[in-house]
Amino acid sequence: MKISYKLIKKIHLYACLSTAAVLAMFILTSYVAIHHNWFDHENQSETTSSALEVLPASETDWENLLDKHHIKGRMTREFTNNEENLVREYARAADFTKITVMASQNQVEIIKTTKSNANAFFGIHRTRGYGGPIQYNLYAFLLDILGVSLIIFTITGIIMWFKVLKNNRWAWIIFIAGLVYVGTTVGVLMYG
Amino acid sequence: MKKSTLIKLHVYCGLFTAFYILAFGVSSIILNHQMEVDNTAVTKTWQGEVSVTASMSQQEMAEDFRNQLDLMGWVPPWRYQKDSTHFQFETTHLAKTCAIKVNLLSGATEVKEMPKGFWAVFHGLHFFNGSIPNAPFFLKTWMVYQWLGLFVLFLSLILGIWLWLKFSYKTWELYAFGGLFLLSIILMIMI
Repeated sequence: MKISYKLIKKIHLYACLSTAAVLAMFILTSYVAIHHNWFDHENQSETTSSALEVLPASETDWENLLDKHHIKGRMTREFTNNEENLVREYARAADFTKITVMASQNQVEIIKTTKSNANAFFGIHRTRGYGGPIQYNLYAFLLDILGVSLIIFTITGIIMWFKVLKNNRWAWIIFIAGLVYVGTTVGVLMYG
Repeated sequence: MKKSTLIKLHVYCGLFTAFYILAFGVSSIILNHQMEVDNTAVTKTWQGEVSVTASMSQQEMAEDFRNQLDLMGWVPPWRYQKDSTHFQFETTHLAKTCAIKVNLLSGATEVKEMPKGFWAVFHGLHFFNGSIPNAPFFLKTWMVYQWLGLFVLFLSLILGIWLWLKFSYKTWELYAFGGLFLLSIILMIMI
């Protein structure tokens, strides 16, 4: 089956356009990580304690507790600490909340950490995976599209280069140099 | 600038970063699905000898032994185990973990190598910034490639969108992908 140049160009274009915003975010936040020292990374934490009317026993109880204390995000971790208290952690790109249920005292301790702008921006970069409220699942789906798109537009880009600029010397030099450099790096890491 | 020059520039930028983008694509899928790609099997065991300075702290000892054995990688403190006759630690980096056991009395050393495999390395390029303790200089050049690669990728993205907007866009595409662009930004704000 022969696939036309026009079709490959469309696939290349659509793969890129469908993820342009996320890709741009990943590139920009990568520079935040690379130039870590240029940015303020100091987060602000606030601890509050309050009496519990009901010990959270079901997900509905937890939802009520989250609503009451304006806690956003999705649960990232649940465990029992050394004092046998149940701990839940909720996170968003911009903040992080740790809830400790002190059942013996009928109290809950909430530590809310608000990230600095740079950390919040990089928090978007680090958010991944399915689970939690719908926006997280939609975003995870977008990340899957991004992953597949990156592979597709690289492959279609190379096919298009072969079709239109196959005899361009500079293109060959750049392509081979990239291949040799990345290949050597992987080789040194694996066998060095 | 002429259209043909812009296309050439777009192709050069794309080719420069092609393999880096492939690594990102694979890595994004691995991370999003929390796949385990590291091999943990011991593939090679060998013996060596090191000189022991008893007065060193465990951290200094681990770093010193790593350098004497010409291994590269970090020496995570939570992997140290020491008793009166032996010291055990690990060196680790994105491609390999080595478990090292040193006899503190004789200096006799046993090294077990656990290579993580190709996919772990390819995935690891996502996080690699060229800095691994005791690594050859060549690997440090990745820092430059990474910086340039990201810049060229951004340039390639802007150039591609510019070429599309200037020469070939259709109205429905503009609405569809413009809408998707906005939706992506809204999602990024909401998460």
